Amino acid sequence: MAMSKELVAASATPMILSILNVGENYGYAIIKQVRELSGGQMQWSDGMLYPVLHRLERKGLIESFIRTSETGRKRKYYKIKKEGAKVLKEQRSDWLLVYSTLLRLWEKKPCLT
Amino acid sequence: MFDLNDQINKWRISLEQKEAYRGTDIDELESHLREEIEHLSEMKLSQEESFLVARHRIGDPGAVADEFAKINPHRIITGRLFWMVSGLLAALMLFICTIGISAICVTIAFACGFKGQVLVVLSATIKVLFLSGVLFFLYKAYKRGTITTRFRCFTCNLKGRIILISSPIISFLILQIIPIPTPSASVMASMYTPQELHIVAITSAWLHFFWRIVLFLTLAILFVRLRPTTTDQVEA
Repeated sequence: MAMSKELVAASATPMILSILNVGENYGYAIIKQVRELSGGQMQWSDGMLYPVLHRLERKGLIESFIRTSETGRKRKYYKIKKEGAKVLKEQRSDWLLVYSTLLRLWEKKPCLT
Repeated sequence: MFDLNDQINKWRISLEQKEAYRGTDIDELESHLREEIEHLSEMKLSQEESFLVARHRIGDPGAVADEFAKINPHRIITGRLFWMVSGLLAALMLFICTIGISAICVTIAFACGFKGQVLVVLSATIKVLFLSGVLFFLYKAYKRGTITTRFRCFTCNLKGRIILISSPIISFLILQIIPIPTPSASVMASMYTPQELHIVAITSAWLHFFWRIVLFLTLAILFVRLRPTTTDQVEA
């Protein structure tokens, strides 16, 4: 069953910021990394990634620049900014809080009536 | 024969027809598409299969366009205003050219010795023929599909914008500063008897009336036919 759209949309920002926190990257490589890390479970539709990237750029969390590869291909690369790193730290603690709370709820034995 | 570049161009054109994308957005998506196709070709898929899978992975065209539209809201409004203004400018240019050409033809006819009602009928006929010719040419170009993309490319760069803005100004100045020799009302008045002038004036008025109705009807029909539809226009 496909993951809810809201969950995919909400998790996109921390995922992208985390990937860019490691180093600058471009759209196709970001999607490939998400696919690999999730074992193929998270298949973002590629076209949806770029509006998210542009929104983050507009908010001042990341910045973009064009780089030409040795093969002559022009790619738009993205880099995280200080503000983005700050937001990532906040989102990380929010997500860990949600995760630990849910884990505690699910560890309780279910009520059998 | 599957031509990859041709298919990618068709895909680009289908995106350009949606208002939500900027030129740089489409470039980025194309770069992504090409990389996906390369990656899939390495996995032993044929070029055609790679293209189809890569295009599918980009996602539902409507949903993607909606997402881009959310982050480019001003683009939609300026895009529409741009088309409105271009339409008005084009109509103005066409109007000026039609009058100019008809005036030139009438002057030549007058110099050849034609007078009176003949000149009026000639003037109206030339206008109708010229206008129909231009509209037919535009229709053919529109059917071929090249006109909207060429126009967008033309107006995307600075040179195109300068030409677009300066051409109606220049034509207007030419029309005002260099008088087009045409039998003006005062010249005609001195050459004809009052009865002849009366008939000429009435014929002219009726012809202009019908010409304007035809023009309005043509524009109304074009307006209805050229309305953007909500269905996807991509041909598989």
